[in-house]
Order: sequence, then C-alpha cells, then structure tokens
Amino acid sequence: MNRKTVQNIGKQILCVLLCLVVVAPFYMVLINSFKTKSEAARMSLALPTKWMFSNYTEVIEKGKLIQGFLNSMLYATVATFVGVILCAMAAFVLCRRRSKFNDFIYYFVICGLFFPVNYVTLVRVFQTMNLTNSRLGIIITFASAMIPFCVFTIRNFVISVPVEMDEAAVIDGAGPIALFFRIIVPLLKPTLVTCFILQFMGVWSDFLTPLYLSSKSRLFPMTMAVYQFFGKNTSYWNYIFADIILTCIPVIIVYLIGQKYIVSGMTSGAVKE
Amino acid sequence: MNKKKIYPQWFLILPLALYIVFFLFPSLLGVLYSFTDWSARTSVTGLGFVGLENYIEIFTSKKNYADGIYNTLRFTLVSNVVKIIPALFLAILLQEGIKGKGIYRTLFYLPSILPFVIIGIVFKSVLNYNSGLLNHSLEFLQLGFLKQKWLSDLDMVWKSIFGVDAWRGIGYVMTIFLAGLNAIPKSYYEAAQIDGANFWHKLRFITLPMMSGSIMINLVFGITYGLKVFDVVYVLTNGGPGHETEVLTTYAFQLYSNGQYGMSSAMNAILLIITGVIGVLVVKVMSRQEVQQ
Amino acid sequence: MKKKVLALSLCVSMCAAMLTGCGSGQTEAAETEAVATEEVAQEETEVAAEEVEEVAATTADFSGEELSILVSAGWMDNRYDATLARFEETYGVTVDLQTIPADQYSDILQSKLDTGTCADVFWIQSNPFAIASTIVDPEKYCIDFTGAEWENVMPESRKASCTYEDKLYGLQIWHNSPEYVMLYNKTLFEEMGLSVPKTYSEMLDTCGKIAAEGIVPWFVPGADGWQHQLSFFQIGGVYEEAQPGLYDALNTNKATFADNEKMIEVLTQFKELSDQGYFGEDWIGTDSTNMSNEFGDRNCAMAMANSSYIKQIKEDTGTEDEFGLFLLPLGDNTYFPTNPAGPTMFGYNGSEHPELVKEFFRFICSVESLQEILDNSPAYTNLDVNISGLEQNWLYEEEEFMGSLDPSKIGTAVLQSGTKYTNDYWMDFGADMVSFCQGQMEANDVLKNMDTNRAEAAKVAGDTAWK
Repeated sequence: MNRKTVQNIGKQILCVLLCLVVVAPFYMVLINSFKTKSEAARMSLALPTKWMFSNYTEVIEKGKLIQGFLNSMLYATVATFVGVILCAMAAFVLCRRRSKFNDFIYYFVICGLFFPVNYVTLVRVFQTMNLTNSRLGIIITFASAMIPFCVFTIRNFVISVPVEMDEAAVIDGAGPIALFFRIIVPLLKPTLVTCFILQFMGVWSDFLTPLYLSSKSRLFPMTMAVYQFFGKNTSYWNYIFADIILTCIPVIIVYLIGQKYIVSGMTSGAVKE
Repeated sequence: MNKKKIYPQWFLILPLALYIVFFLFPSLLGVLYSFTDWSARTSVTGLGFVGLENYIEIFTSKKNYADGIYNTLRFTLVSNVVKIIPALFLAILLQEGIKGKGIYRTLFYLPSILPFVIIGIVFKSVLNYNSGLLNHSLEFLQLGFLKQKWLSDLDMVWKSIFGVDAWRGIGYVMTIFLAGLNAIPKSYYEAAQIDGANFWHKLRFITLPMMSGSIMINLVFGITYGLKVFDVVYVLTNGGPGHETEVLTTYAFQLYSNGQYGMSSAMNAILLIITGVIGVLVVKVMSRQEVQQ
Repeated sequence: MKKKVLALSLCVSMCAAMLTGCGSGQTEAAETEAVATEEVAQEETEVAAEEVEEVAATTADFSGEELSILVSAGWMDNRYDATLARFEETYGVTVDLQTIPADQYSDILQSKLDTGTCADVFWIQSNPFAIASTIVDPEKYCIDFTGAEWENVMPESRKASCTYEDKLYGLQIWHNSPEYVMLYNKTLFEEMGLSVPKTYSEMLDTCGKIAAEGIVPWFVPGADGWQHQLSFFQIGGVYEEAQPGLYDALNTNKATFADNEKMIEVLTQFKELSDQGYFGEDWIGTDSTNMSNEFGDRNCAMAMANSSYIKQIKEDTGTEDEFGLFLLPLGDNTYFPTNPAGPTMFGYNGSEHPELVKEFFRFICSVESLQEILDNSPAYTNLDVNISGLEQNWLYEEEEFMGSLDPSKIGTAVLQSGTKYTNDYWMDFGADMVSFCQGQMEANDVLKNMDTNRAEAAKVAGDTAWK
C-alpha cells in the first residue's frame, strides 16, 4: 500500500464519519415522520412499531400543503430568478465600468447587508403603494432584499472574468445585451447558480415576510403550515416531522440540479491559460 | 472601446430602484424610530422625539445589555473560525478526485436547509442529558466520562451552540468555496506539481490568493450572520440558562415583545453600527490585498 | 448518474405524496375560485336586493364574504374546525383562518393593528389587565359588543378579562379545569405507600423516597422556558394570605416583590428541590416534548399540568396507571390556582363587514356550537360558560379533586393574573429563576428584577401609581 491509498482511505473514513453526523438528525426526522404521535415524541432512532404512511396524506390535507407549495414555489423561483439576473447586470456594470460614482453605488448597495429588516415600516411602504395582500408585493420584497447579497457575491466573481472576452464579443458586433446574456452569463454560471441556490433556500424558509405583508392565509408559504401542528400542551410530532420532510424536498432538488452547474462552471478559467 | 456603450449605466436602474424603495428606505425609517419613544402606547399618546435617550438607557441600564454585545462579538469570532477553516478544507477535499464527492457535497449541504424551529427541537432532544442521542452514543463508545449537560451547564452551553451552528452552516460556506475553487484553472496546480510543490505550498501560493473573492464573501457573510445571529440561540436556549447566552438580537426581540419598540430599534441600530464598521474594515482590507496582487 | 437517480426518485416520491393529497387539495382550490367569482356576482345582485327588500338579518346577507381570523398556534387547535365549517355553510361565507407561530404572534398582531391591516377577528391571551397592556386602545381597535345577547354566557370572572372601562370587547370561551396543579401517578404512590404531600416538608420527604427508587420525583421541563415559573406564580393565594392586601398594594405600587419573605421562601424551596436533583438530573436542559411518555414509562411521578393531561397520558401511552391531582405545597400552599385568564376573541373595528363579525360571535355562543367546540377539544373537559343545555365532560379525577377543595381558598387569582404587568415578564422571571438555581443570582435579586420590569411597563403604560 502506498501513501496515496492510505491517504485516500483516511479521507473516505473522514467523509463517511462527517456524513453520519450530518445525516443522523435527518434520519431522526425521517424515521419519526412514520410513527404515531406519542412514539414520535420520543425521537428515537428505532424503526416505527407501526408504519404510519397516512401521516403524509393527513399533513398534506390538514396543512393545505398544495396551496402552500405553489405559493412558495412561485415566490422562490420568480423572486430569485429576477433578483439574481438583475444583480448580475448591476454587478457586471459596477465592476467593468469603474468610476467614483459607480464605486459609491457599490458600497451603497453593500451597506444593505448590515441593515436589519423593519417589517412595520415595510408594511407602511407597501400600503401606500397598494401592494399589500398581493403575490407581486411579496415577490418584490424578496427580490429587493437579496440585492446586497447578490451584487456583492457576483461582483467578486466578475473580476475574475477577463475583459478580453468582452472585447472579442464587441468586435464580433455584439450589443450590450447580447454581450451580457450570451458571453458573460455563461461564464458566471457557477456564481449565478450558487447565488440562486442560496437565495432560493432563503426565500423558501422565510415565512415572516409573507406573514407581515399579507392578511390572507391563501398567500402563506409552505413553511407556515408546520406551526398548525404545534399546540401549547401537546404537539403532533409525527405531523411536524412529515411536514418538514415534504418542505425540505424541493430545496434538495434545487440543490441537486444546481450542483451540476456549479461544478461544470470550469470553463471560466479556460481563457486565462 | 466605448465603455458607455458596452457597459450601459441603465443596467443599474432597476436593481437600484428596487433596493432603495423596498429595502433601504423602510430599514432607514426603522432606524429613525430609535430616536423616538415609540411604544405600545404610541397609538394613544402619539410619537415623541427623545433624542439619544434610548441609547443612554441601554448603556446605563441595570440589565446587562453590554454582556449581550460582548456575547455577540464572541459568537461572531468563534462561529466563523469553526466554520470557515473546516469548510475550506472540506471544499478542497471534495474538489479533488475523491470517490462519491457528489454525494458528500449534497449531504454536507443538507443541514442548512432545515428550518431553525426543527433544528431547535431535534437538537434539544439530541443534547438531552438522560435520553439524548449524543450522551447515549458517548456511553456506547465507552466515553461516558465525556457526557455533559450540553444545554444547561454554563461552561458547556456556548460550545453546544457553536457546535450546532457549525453543523448547520459548514455546508453553506463550503458551497461558496466550491464555486471559488472551480474558477481556478487546473493548469496552475499542474505547473506547481512539476515544480515539486506540496499541499501547503499549493494552498498558500495558488488556492488562497485565487480564492480571495470567495474568502471575502464568506468572511463578510459570516460576520454579518454572526453579528445578527438570532435563530440558533433562540431555538436552543432562548438566551438561557439564565441570561448566559443572550445576544443583541435576543435582547432586541424581548424589548420588542414587551412593547418598547423605540428601545428595540435602538438596539438594532447599535448592531447596525457594529456590523457596518466591522464589515467596511473587512472589505477594505481584502480589496487592498486584491490590488497588491 | 447517481445524482440523477436520486433527484428523480425524490421528484417522484414528492409528486406521489402530493398527488395523494390532491383529492382534497384540488377541490378546495376549485371551491375558492368558485367563491371568488360568485363574490363579484353576489355583490352586484346584493346591492339591488337590499334596496328592494329590507329583510331582517337573513343568512343570505353575508354570502360570498370572507371572515378572517388571526390566532396564535395552540389557541384554537382543531376544536373550532367543525364549528367554522358549519358557520361557512350556514351563511355561505368563507373563513380564512390564519394560525401564527406562537412566538411571533404578539409582534404580528401589534404590527397588523398598528398598520390597520388586522383580520376581522383576532385573539389575545387575556387577563383582567391585558386589554389595557396588549391592545392599549380598545376603543380604536375593537368592536364594542356591550349589550350583546351572549354577554351573560360568560361568568363574571371571565368578563373581567373582556371588558375595559365598562365596555364589553371580548369573548372568552375557556375551560374551568384545574390548570397547572400537581399531577401525580396515583398507582405509583399507592404501591410505594406514599400519601399526597400537604406541606413543603412532606413534599421534600416524598420526593426523597421517590428519587431513591430511581424515578424523577417532579418532572420540570425547564428548557421550555415558560413552565418552571408556574410553581412560583400559581400559588398566589399563599402570598396574599401571608400579607393580606398584597395584590392591591402591588397594583398601586405600594408593595414590591423584593423583600417579600414568603416569595423568597418559595424560591428557596424551589432551589432546594433543584439542588437535591428532585427535578431530574438536568431539568434546565429538558423540554416537555417527551413528558407524557415519561409519565407512561414511570420515569417520573409528578409534574405541574392541567387535569386534562391525565387523558392525554392515557391516550398517548396506553398506561394502566391511575392519576390524581393535588395542590402545589410550596410555601405550604393550600390555595387553588384560580385563573380568570385565557385566549380571548375580539372583533376588529376596521373590519369591512362588522355585521358578519357580530354574527360570528353570536354563532359561537349558541349551545350547539359550544357543545361542538367542547366535544372536539381533546384537551378540555368542560367550558366555563353559563348556558343551559351544555353537557360537560368532567373527568372523575377532576370532580374528585374539585370536591376536596376548601371553598374559601378558591377565590384568590393566581399571581400573574391578579397583579398588573406581572404576566408580561413571565419569560424574564423564568430566566432569572434558572440563574438563581444555578447560583448566579440571589433570590431577592430575582424579585428585584421583577419590580424593575414592572416599573418599566408601568412607565410605558403611563400608569399614575408609578409616577
């Protein structure tokens, strides 16, 4: 056995151990989602004495999960997509066209990272614009809130895309929009996808924004449903766990799909060689 | 090349407008409230301007708000160290050819998608002294002497919070590092290999400098996250046992719940100032390094 | 490849899960849509109809309207579901029930009231002082129900939590079961030859004997953060007894928590039990998630709980053991924890259809609805209402316990409901109590903090007694 194989085995053992640590709580949630209410409260790792698959159907019905799922999907996809593209455009210009003014704008936007959200004033602003109780309002809020994060992240990667690419494209007769969408966006893929995943997850799990901005339960996202199963004296742990599993699945899928693009974004380095 | 033409300024208009109207403006308005006596009674008495009174109250109050500030700073420092360094090595490990790296990547990221409520419930159970998974596992491994009252021992509780926070956050940090690592051309490493460089050389002279972008991102996000930390503390201990783990945001939350909105806004404003100062420092230092390279 | 398979299988499983629920989900969506279109049509015809015939409140008046309800998780549970469905059916309206996470509820409510976007019906956890401190300006925010026919459905003690300056605003339908008294495993006590402790020293003794068997004598879920302080507040009668007139004095700022000897005594006793390990080895780090199983497994013998918890233990665990109730003997207490507090419904003054809201309150107060609510409450055995024809489901254990009480020791309200601003600092006090048990704080400092907090609340409320 040479050193390399020993190293590889060591690495594998490390990864497997870490995976166990990561997965154990998930396993706990998953296995308990198939138990009865009081058995689930024990949160043991043992298999259920009786498999309660009906927990899932009941959660979907009682929690109105279909409606919540559609809302969450709409908010997360549209807000994140619009937010990331807009931010990429802004970051691109802010990075390429350096001027005193643009640098100021950059830092001005970055400041947003530090600000706490104030829901009361936010609701006031939305009221004056008649945007409360609408899906559009909720989407706009989410898209706006991710701007500092995305501009900051994306700009740090635009730096690494060589300017020669732009020049070549312009010589080929591309306009600014064609240049951005055909040349720059593909090069920024790993970053854009990373931003998309992280922000999608953020929007998906944020239930406070829709809660403050709407007074209609049909606008509530999927993550709200779980709270119906908490009671003051007794909680339906089986339902809570089943609900969590269902709520997590979409984000896992987005990550699985996105991960491929993060990894395949290798081409961005190609030009530098 | 005509910069005006290929990098049109109008690309900025829409994002900037959204940002100002729907994010910055309401937030700034919120900060303004910190100079008022805004409270649950405001609807009866009307809003009054009180200058710096709320701030003076915070720093002179008998309640240990200062401890909250100290705890916040400590959390920021420690939580970032225990997340960023392991995440960096994990990302490098998974970037290299290791079998099943795709699965590992996915699994390590999983914890960051769990809602905090659930993290709280699950870890309160895992960390339970008598029936918790952790103490049971320690006993099973004949390590019974390591058993702890994870969430109530005053010497242990912060470590438990750091542990749970790292459990949740490492995958997130790692994902950003992975995006950064992918932007480094393989040829750099190949060239270094030929020169006989070892792992540490490659790390020091290729990986770290080329990754300055993602390191900065992680630092800035990590610091802002750390300073604004609320959920992980709230769901695990809610500032307890006693007031051992109170941070700025848990105090702000309590003040708000008690109807002292002005005080709560002032608490948030203090947090804003601290975050702003530290954040600007980090960005400045990092961009100076960027220029040097 | 593996990833794809995983992604695919996840997709499939999710779709399958979604589809199974679709049957109900889709019809529901269709229904709301139908209602929405109906709404428009209805409104138009309604205007015309109203002009022609001024019929007295027929049910058709409201059809197509939507009644929204804002409530914290756990206050309505599922026990209103059937009644709400019947309300929808009777009036042809829809009910939009918004269940908010408990820890966010008060912030959400304040924001909604403040910005004028509140639901038609909202709830607060009320006590005789809560309208002033939580809603603050009931005249502005609440529908005035004074003189409503359901007024006398509530007993006088409940009405105090629903009125402010002689106007009736709220409706409190809550049970009158013993709340948070000591619940114990009767069978276990009998097997061990123990009798119910009546004084603190007996309690200490009993705990010692139970602990010797390797059983946690008194399960205290300290990690919940809101339960352990019950053992201090629920015995308000004993403080009043030790210092007659204490409540009034506390409400007029003539007495303080600090330096109250009885209170210090109770806190010290609590710490002694904690130090002895009678609450379990790590009560501060344990929450109530598994409490009913702990009882079922005989891992613990006593806990502070509602009488209905007996039902829950039996349902959850199928245990054969019998359970009973007794009065918490800290400070040698002999008083029953009377608590005229509970989640209370209010009508929002800015509602677009106040008549529908009023109709809803009327509807809830019918015998039929009340019976339905009671029968659908897994956790409640009775409703504290004055109405003939309602069939209560009292437990044998409750009747036994209530029958054993000294009638002269039922009248004093618990400390958190009998004194102003106290309940607002429930969590703070709990945290301080833990600090005290961990030796980080003195008992009197715990009480002093309560005084400071109450003074602050009084200042916010503009209370003249504190000026």
